[in-house]
This record gives sequence, C-alpha cells and structure tokens, in this order.
Amino acid sequence: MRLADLMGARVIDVTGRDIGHVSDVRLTEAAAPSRRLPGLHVAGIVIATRRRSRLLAYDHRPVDAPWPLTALARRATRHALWAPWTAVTAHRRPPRTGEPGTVTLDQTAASLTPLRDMHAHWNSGT
Amino acid sequence: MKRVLAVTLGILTAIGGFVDIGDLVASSLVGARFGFALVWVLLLGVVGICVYAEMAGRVAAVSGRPTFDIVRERLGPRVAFANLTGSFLVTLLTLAAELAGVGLALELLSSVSYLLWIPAVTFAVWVVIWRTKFETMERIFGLAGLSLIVFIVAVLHLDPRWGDMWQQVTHPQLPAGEGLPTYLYYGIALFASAMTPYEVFFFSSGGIEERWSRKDLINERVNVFLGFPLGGLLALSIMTGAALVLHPEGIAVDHLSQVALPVVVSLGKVGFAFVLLGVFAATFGAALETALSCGYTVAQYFGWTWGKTHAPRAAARFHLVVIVSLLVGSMLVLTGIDPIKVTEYSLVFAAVALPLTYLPILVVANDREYMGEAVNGRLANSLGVLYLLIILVASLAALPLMFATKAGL
Amino acid sequence: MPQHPPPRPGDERTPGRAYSARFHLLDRQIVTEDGTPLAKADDLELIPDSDGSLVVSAVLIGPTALAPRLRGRPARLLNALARRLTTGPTDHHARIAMGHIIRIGAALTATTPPVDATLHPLEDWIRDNVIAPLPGSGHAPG
Repeated sequence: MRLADLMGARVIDVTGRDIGHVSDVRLTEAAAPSRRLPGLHVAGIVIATRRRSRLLAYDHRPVDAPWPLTALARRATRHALWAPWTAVTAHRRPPRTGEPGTVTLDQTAASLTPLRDMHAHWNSGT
Repeated sequence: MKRVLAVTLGILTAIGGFVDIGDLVASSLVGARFGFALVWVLLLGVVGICVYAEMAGRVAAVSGRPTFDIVRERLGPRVAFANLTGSFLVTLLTLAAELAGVGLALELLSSVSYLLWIPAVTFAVWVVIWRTKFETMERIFGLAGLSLIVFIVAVLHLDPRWGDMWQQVTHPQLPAGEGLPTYLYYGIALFASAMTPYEVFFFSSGGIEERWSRKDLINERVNVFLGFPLGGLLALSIMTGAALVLHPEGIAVDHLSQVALPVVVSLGKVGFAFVLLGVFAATFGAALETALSCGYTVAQYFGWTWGKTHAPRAAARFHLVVIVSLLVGSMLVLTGIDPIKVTEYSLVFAAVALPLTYLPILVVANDREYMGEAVNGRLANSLGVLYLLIILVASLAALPLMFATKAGL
Repeated sequence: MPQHPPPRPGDERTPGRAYSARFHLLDRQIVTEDGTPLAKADDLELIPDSDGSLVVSAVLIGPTALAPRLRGRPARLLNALARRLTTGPTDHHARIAMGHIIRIGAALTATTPPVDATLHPLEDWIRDNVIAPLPGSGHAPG
C-alpha cells in the first residue's frame, strides 16, 4: 500500500462516528533486532478533528517565530488527536484516485490523547 | 576586482526585476502620468524585495534548497501546483516581453522592425543558456546593464530643484484628472514589479549554481543590499527623468523610444547611445533570467536535475522546458500582441500569486532544522511579517482594481 | 564531487528517531551523494511487518506516484495523463528502496547510482531524442 492511502483518510471511531481525517503519520526508526524488518515503522497517526486545521506546515515543527504565524498555527492545530497504530483495527484504500481512504479505530475519540503542543513532544515519544 | 564581480548575481537579478522592458516603460509611464506621487511605492518595493531575496538566498546558501523546492515542500503538491501554474505563466509572459524588448532596442538602433529580430534574439538567448558559464553570463549582462546609470547622470545633469522634488515625494498628491483607483492600480503594478517572484527564483537558484554555502552569507547579503537598491535607484531615476521632462509637457509613454527622451534632452546623442546599450543588456539579461526561471520552477517542483553546472545531457528535462518556453515566448511576440501591455497584465496576475511564494520562504527561514543558527533575526521577521501583510492586501486588491479601472485607462 | 552543501551531522538515520511523514519525507528533494537533484519524494510505499505494523519499504517517484496526492479532479487528470505517457505496466511506480536513503535532512540523500533506466524514463527519452542530438549537449556550461 501507499502512504497517500493513509494521508487525508477519514477516521471512524469504534462507535462508527467520523471523527476527522489523518493529517500526519508519525514514523519511527526501529533498531533491527527489536522488529522483524529494520527501517521506518508507522508509529501512529495524527487526527485533525476540524476541517481547517492544516496551516502551511507550521504544526509540529520546532519553529517559534514569527509570532503571528505561530499563533495562528497553534490555534489551527489545538484540537488534534493522537492514535497509536495499535489502536487502528482496519484501513481501506480510497475507492478511486484522489478520494480519501478510511481508517477505523478500536476506541472512541474521547479516549484518545489530545496533542496540544504537537511540535514539543514530537520527538520524545508521545 | 574579484569583490566587485562577486555582486553581479545581485545586479543581474535586480536588473531583471527593476529595469526590464516592462519596468522601463512602466517607470517612465508612471513618472509621466503621476510625477513623483508614486515614488514611495518604489521605495517600499525595494525594501520588500531586499527582505525576501535575502531570506531566500540565505535559505539556499545554508540548506542548499532553492525557492521552488521549499514552496512545494511547505505548501504540499496541490497548492504548490497552483503557484507553479501562476508563477510559470507570469514568467513566460515576461520572457515574451523581454524578447520583444531586445528586438525593440535593436529596432531603435537599426530601424529594422523588432519582429524581424525575434528569431535571432531567441536563438541568441538559447545559445547563452546552452553554452555560457553562469558567472560569465551574469558578469557580462549585469555589468553592461549598468550603462543605464546614464539615467542617473541625466537627472543630475537636468539639475532639478531637489527641495521641490522631496516635497512632492513626501507629500504625494493625485495629479488633476487621475482617479484614486487608477493611482492605486499603478501603485500595485509598480509594487508587484519590484517584488516579481522570478527574482527570488533566479537569485536563490543562482546562489546554488555558484555553490554558495554558509560561509558565503556575507557575499549573499552584499549581493542583495547592493544589487536591489541599485536596481531600484535606476528605476527611480527613469521615473524622475520622466517626471521632470515628460510630465510637465503632458507626453504619455507608450513606446520604448519615449523612455529615452529625458536622457536625450539632458545628454544628447552620447546619452542615447548609453541608453541603447543599457536597454539591450537589461532586456537581454532579463530574458536570460526569465527563461532560466521557467526551467528552475518546473524542475524544482518535480525534483528534476537542473542548472548550468550540469551538461545539458544530464539535465534534459530542465533544458527542454527552457527551450519550449523560449519557443512559446517568441511565438507569442510574433503574433504581434503589444509586449508592454502583456507585462502590465502579467504583473497584476503576479501580484495575486505573490503570497504563495513568499510565505514558505518566511516559514523555512525560521526553521532550525533547515537553517541551524542562521534563522531569521527579529528585524527580518518583523519586516517579513509586515511585507507579507502588504503583499496579501495587494494581491487581494489587484484584480478588483484592474476591473474597476479597466487596467489603468 | 563532494555533496554540496556538506551534509549535516545528525541527519544520518539512527534508531529511535521519529519523523513526520508530512514534514520530513513527503515532497522532500532526493539528492545523490554528490548533491545532484535526483527526484522529489512523491509518495512512500508501505509493507506490513509480521507483527501487523507497517514499514516504509521505498520512496515512490514520478507522476503516477504524485497524482493521487493532488486530490480530487486534478489527481484523476494527472493520473490519466501519466498512464498514457508510460510505456511499461501502468500500476508500476519508479521507486528508490528505503535502504538506499542514508540521510534525512533538508534533503534526502540516496546512494542510488544515477544511471538507472527504471528511475526516469521520461528524462531518458528526452535526453536521447531531443537534447543529445543538439551540438554541445555533452559539455557543462559551468
């Protein structure tokens, strides 16, 4: 499969409710012995719960200037949720090119961790 | 001498931005119609392009990434594609106008119609791109373009009343018979021409062609802070000459020959010879700048190998884009459309696409993962945000004003 | 030729590092070890590991890889166009195995040799049929 099938996919929680879309995928570099395959593993997904929540790649970057842009970016991403890949029960490819796929979770939106200051704990293991 | 030659990238880039064919005509047109009432816009534009060219050049030197590369990286493929379409079309239209401009300069010299010169001019531009070293190219056309300094000499020789001029610059007044929307429309066109996106495409890509690195940052800044103000000063002197000579007589500018009038009045035939050389070099240099920028933007969006440091064989798609752009540009001119009208319109469309180019530069220039310690300081950020707002307002107002004023009639 | 600008320490792939797919990998420029631009990272290929997780196996490049990411109608247009222009099997994407990517920084550095016929069919065709026949195409202007 391809990453494009995941990015932008609709996220359905355990009750069947559409809670948002996948705005980013976190990848971690695994040490060879700990997993079967070495390399970049999908650690989990960032779920944007509001439609307008992507602002020009400012979210989860270690960027703190200039002020008006960072303030806008924080505001735009404050309702993001984090779902580890273990919480994903199924993912489906888009029905046709250019449309979003679907990701199904084994829990409700309320039980997911909110990502308030995403960029701050991006590299420290959420 | 080496020091002097090291700033030719900045000079050539600025010539393409401030005294290419569209600006030569626009500056004198604005001077002839509005006198000194729009000088402040030119100054605003000079500071703006300095701020963003410095940022784009610094990003290129430190991270090795040219402007359109980071445009796609920050905006994503979809929005960046919209920007690519807009910026490419504007650059292509400007290229067509520059080819016509070189033809017009040759027409003034030879009395042979500019249309007959177009095939030869197009071929010459291609040969320079195909065969000449990047540094040789920028030195020849950057330095020859400096003959336009004759406009500064002409203004000094006219010996205007400086106090009066200063008064008119600092207290701009609408000339009788001109409406405010028309004034603002020309203001935006002038501002957009100072900040045309192909300047940063060319400047940042040129820095990479010259293999700048972190230790070249001083050189990069000297290029910016000498080149662009010099370009702005040339445009200012053209505008001033027109305001002094053409404005009082009520002469309207619609042809290149009228651009040279103030110099002829002030300095006679010798001055005219310098104008011809300067216009030829400036338009030819701008044609190189825009033709290369067409290739740079497309190649950087798609990630192809690009640049003059590679043999054309090794950068085939890049060179094909340049060749096709030159062919399309020359055919556009050969249809007989007015090249100067073309740049005027394209400038307004450029204004609409401006924010999508400058926002990613500002974002990346603040990102330590790319820039390390060379991130923006407080001044660069304050000016960057301020200009982003100005650009945003200009881009929103550009099209409504264009329709409201019937493109400045 | 050494890579230009020189690679930064810390860009090497080390176990435990986390990356954002959107900001560290997608749409980044891929360069060869001497710094020559090779391609944009248009998409990533994922394969399942035995424990059910997904692993990035390759970087996908080229218009067919880029197409779905444009979303909506532009996606289908580019996809249709790219399919008509390719000569090989239409569901095949040009790819660079993830093992060849040795650094993840302002650009991705790949060890792939620049001569690889499956990587840039369009570049190869244009070079052989348009650019190479022109005189002087083999010399870098510098």
